This record gives sequence, structure tokens and C-alpha cells, in this order.
Amino acid sequence: MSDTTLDPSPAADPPGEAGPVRSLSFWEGRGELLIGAILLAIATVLGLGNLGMDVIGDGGLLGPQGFGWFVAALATVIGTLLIAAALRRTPERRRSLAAQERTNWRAVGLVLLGIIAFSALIDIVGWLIMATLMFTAVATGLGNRNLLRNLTVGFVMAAIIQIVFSGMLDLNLPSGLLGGW
Amino acid sequence: MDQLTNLLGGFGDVFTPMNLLWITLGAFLGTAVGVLPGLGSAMAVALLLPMTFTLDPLAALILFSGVYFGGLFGDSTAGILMNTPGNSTAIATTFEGHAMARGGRAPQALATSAIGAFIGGLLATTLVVFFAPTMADLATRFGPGEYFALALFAFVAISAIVSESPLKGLAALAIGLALALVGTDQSTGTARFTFEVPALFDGISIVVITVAVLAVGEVLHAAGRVGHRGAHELVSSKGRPWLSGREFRAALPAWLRGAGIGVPFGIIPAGGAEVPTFLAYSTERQLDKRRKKPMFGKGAIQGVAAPEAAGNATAGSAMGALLSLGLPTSATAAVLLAAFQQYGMQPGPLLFERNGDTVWALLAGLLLATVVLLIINLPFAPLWAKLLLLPQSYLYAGITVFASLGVYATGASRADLAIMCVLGVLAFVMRRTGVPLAPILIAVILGPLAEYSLRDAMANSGNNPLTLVSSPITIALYSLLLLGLVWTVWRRMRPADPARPVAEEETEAHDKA
Repeated sequence: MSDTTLDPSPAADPPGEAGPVRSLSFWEGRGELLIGAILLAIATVLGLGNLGMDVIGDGGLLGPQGFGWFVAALATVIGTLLIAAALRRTPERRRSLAAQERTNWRAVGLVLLGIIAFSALIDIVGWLIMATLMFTAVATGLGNRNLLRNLTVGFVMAAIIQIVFSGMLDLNLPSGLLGGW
Repeated sequence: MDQLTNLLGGFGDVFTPMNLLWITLGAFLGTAVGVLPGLGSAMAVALLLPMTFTLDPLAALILFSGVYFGGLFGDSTAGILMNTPGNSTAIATTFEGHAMARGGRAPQALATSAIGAFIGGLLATTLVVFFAPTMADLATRFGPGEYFALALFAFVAISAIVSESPLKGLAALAIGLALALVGTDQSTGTARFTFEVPALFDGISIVVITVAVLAVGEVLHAAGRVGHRGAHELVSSKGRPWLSGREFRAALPAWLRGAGIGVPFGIIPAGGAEVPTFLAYSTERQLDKRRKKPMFGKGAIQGVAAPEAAGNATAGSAMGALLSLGLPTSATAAVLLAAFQQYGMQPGPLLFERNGDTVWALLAGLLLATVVLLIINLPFAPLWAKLLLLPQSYLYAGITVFASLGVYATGASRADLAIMCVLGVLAFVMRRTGVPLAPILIAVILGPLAEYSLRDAMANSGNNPLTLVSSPITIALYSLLLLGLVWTVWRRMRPADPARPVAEEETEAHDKA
């Protein structure tokens, strides 16, 4: 694995971690809070969607909305229980969970940036450039610091895919900025 | 013996150079994704789905089935040689497998696992050939009430009974059900939860959901762990890959017992092969304790043979449940069901009548695939292990490119790509918190079935809820469900089972099979 010599922790682990007295922030060891919030948001969206729904014809007892109400109720109950469980957790338990939840946010951010940029710009900038950039962003985010090689490998891969898909499978990938050439 | 005639016809259809090529390609791809940690057959099939639009259905389906089985052949390689199982389905094999490798018997461990996977897959597929048509016959009598019970059974089994935490399983289920609701209501034509966005009128594409949840989420998860991963040493596996007569005699009963344990689990929506592989492992461990010289912990060949056979036997009978009942029992089966739907085929009782030729050719293809897999795995397992030297960064970058390509290829729309980003982040958050992903896929696939069969049942019976429990099949399904729930509660009241060893920190307990 010569390429992926993962440099020791390129990101946000606070150095004082070894000390046992470090106090926990509100969010640490409570990952379920976020899942609970997502579930409550889903329940709200389903509820609002149901109330504003323009029902066509007679759908019977449950109609198009019945199942939506059921899922909204399920999401509310589960979301509330998850949040309650996370809030009532003991500090020791949270500490061990926080260790499992440790995340290299810089790497995640870089990868995500690559994917979002690709999604937003593919139609304008084109497949070849955006796929190369996304490949480079992900490879770099995963700890491979050889930028030039990442770009080269990404470009070769994107080019091969373009040739195979446009040539053999009749699937046109946007050429974007390079289109006029 | 109608089945044999049909199967021979199937072999006739499959024996074309092109189809044999697809089988071999599927076997190679499947073994590769199985060997590579972090990649699962569900993700591989999801990534292949958009790229096979132009293939004919049979070619695509035998390719996918080869990947499904191949994933279970390859998954133990990394576990045996590096003590990092490629998939949750290989965790059980890893304990004794890695012990064997450290004791200088790596080639034997790899051979035992390959033969075990072969025997399990072959036995289960043979059973499917003989019993799937009967099961499909039985299922032709299913009405909406039965289908609702079946879907409900699958929901509860995958989210509450099997998963580590029922609450987290149900959370994933709710998210999946909500995703399935988006789009135009099939029975009234009402637009639901589309919020005037035209891209949502047809609902969220299953391809987009599976690719986002399985591939993008996995890449983000891998990125989050950069710098926290321990290095693992690759044990060399030189030497004769063959088993001695004594080893073979020791392994044979374990292979058969493992297959026996695996087969029934394919029909239960238990989220894949993780549960049966552990069950097979602990059975062998119990048997080993009664021997004069217990070998467990020192590299017992039975501890490799049984879980591997169980894993592939589960995959085989899962194909049976998928084809005859339309019931996906694992994440990969759920993605396969999406593949059938992509070609306008609906797995279930009518599949054998409407698309009989394709089904029998697919079953024949499965039998061939297990043979091909044995040939490319038994002598060459050490070569496959070389894949583990591939740089992870390029692997995940490649997955990302293919995922985005696949999503873009389904509709060339930026809305799909935006949904992919959102769901990818969602899957990342879920994995970070230990929420299982399989319930999402099962909910997305079976959600509409549950909803419309419930509404049909209500409409057909004049809104009498008793219609849901009016037939022997529904009563049987609900009783099974109740038993499962009682068992879950009982299991949770009991202190933790010491027979199930704590998994390595690197093997997240979530199913990719």
C-alpha cells in the first residue's frame, strides 16, 4: 500500500485527548440526536405534505394520505425515543461512544465537496474535467497526497469511461467546456 | 419432473458464448468486490444497474447473480489473510480462518472456504430449482392481505428482530418508507410529497437511492476514518492449496451442517448471511468442545467450513424467495429486485409463468456460476489476495466516479445527482451512529407493496380490518412475527451471549451482503 500511507491523523483530533478529565461537549457520544432530528423533520414534511395534498378522486378509507400519516407517526415516535435515549446516556457510555464516532471531518468535507461540485457543474463544465476533479478530491481526501498522480489517474479513468460509454453504449456524457474543440 | 426439463431448457439458453462471458465476468467482479474490504455485492450490483440498461435482461441478471454469489466467495480472503473481513458476512469465518493462516495453513483455509461456498451455493440452488415452482404455486393464491402480511413481516424482521438496536433499525425503516412515498400515487394519481418539483413526480429512482446509500455513504464513511485505521499485515499464503484427505474428512460434515443452517435463513428477511454464518460458527464451536482435542482458537478447519457454506446457502435460497415470492431477504436481493423491475419483470408467483424462460436460464446460470467461481477461487485465492494491495484512495475515488456516472446515466438530470448528495450524507450520518442501512432498501422496495396491498385489502372487504387475518397464511405469518418479537425480547433480557465473540473494531456490524 505504498500510496495510502495514511499520515497520522491529518485532521481534527484535539491533542489533549489522552487526558481522562477532558469534558465532553454536548454533542459527543450522542450521535442519535441528529438521527432523531432527521426523523422529526421527515415527520413534519410528511404531515405538511398530507395537509396540503390535492387529492384526486376517492381513494378509499386510507386514500393517498393514510400511509403518509402512519409513517409520520412512526418517525415521530422513533425520533423522540432516540433523542430521549441520547439525552439520558451516562458520561462513561458517552465517552466510549465518542471514541467510536471520531471522524476526520477534513477528509469528509473534501470528498463531499468533490461530489457536490461534480453534481452542480457537470452540465456546464463537462464530464471529463469534473470527473477528473472529483476523482482527485476523493483520492486526496482519503489520504493520498500525490496530487499530480491523482489528477493523471483520474483523467485516464474519466477518458476511458467517456470513450466506452459514448462509443459502445450510446450514452452521451456532456462535453461541456471542451465541447467546442 | 417438470423442473429438470425446464432446467435443461435453461441450460440450453445459457450456453451461448455471450452468456458464458457474462457469467464469468460476474464471477470475477463478484470475487473482486468480495475480496476488497468496504465493497459489498449490493453496492456492486447497484453500481452496475445503470450501466446495463442496454443489455438484454437475461445477460444482466446472470451478471448480477454471479456478482451476488461471487461476493460471498471472495469475502473471506481478506479476513483469513489480514484479519479484516471484507464484509460482515465473513466475520464468523475470520476467527478460525486467520488462526489457520497464522499457523501456516493459509492456503488450506482459503481452499476450505472456497469449497464451502461452492457446496453451500450448489445445494441451495438445487433446492431452489426443485421447490421454487411449488412455492410460486402456493403464492399464486396470495391476495392483498397475504402480501401485506409478508411485507410487514419483512419490515419487522429486518429492523427490529435482526438489527443490533431495534430503535435504530426502525429509524432506518421509517426513512426508507418516507422515501418510497414520494411520487405519484398509483391508485388515484395524486401527487404526493413532490412539492411542485417536476423531478419528483415519478418518485425517487431506486437506482439513485441504492447508489447513494451504499456507495456514496460508504465513501464518506471511509473518508471519516482516514487516520484512525490500524495497519494490518498480510499473511503470505504460499504452499499447496489442496486439502489432505484428513482435512477433507474433517471439513465435509461441517460444510453440510453449515449449508443446512444457511438454507432456511435465505427465506427469512434477516438482512443477509450474517446471522446464519454466526449460527454455523457457534454450532461448530459447541461440537468442537466435545471432541478429545478441541481445536477452536487454534485454527479449526470446521470453523471456516461451516460459516462459508452457510453464507452461500443463504444467498441461494434468498434467490428462491426472491424469484418465487418476490420477497427480498437481504440488501443485495433488494437491489436485484430493482434490477428485475428495471426490465419490466415482477419477481413473484407469476414470474415463472410470464418469464419462465428467463427464470430457468437464470437458475441454470446460477449453477454454472458456482462452478466458475470454484474454478477461479480454489487455485487462485492467493492471487486474489493481491487485490488487497490496491491503494484504497484510488479504489474509493473510482467508486465515487462510477456512482456519479450511474446516477447521471439513469436520467441525465442534476436533480438525481442532488438527491444522491443528500442521501449520501444521510447514509454517512447513519453509519456513523450505527444505524443499519439494509432496512432502508427493504422499505423502499417493499413500501409500495405494503401500502397498495393494504389499501386493496380494505377496498375489497368494505373496510373490514378482520380481512387481514382471515386466511391460514396470514395467521401463520403473524404468528411467526409474534414469535420473533417474543424471542427478541427474551434475548435482550438475557445477559450477552459469550459464544458470540466481539467483532474486530474495523468490521462495522452492518450488512452488505
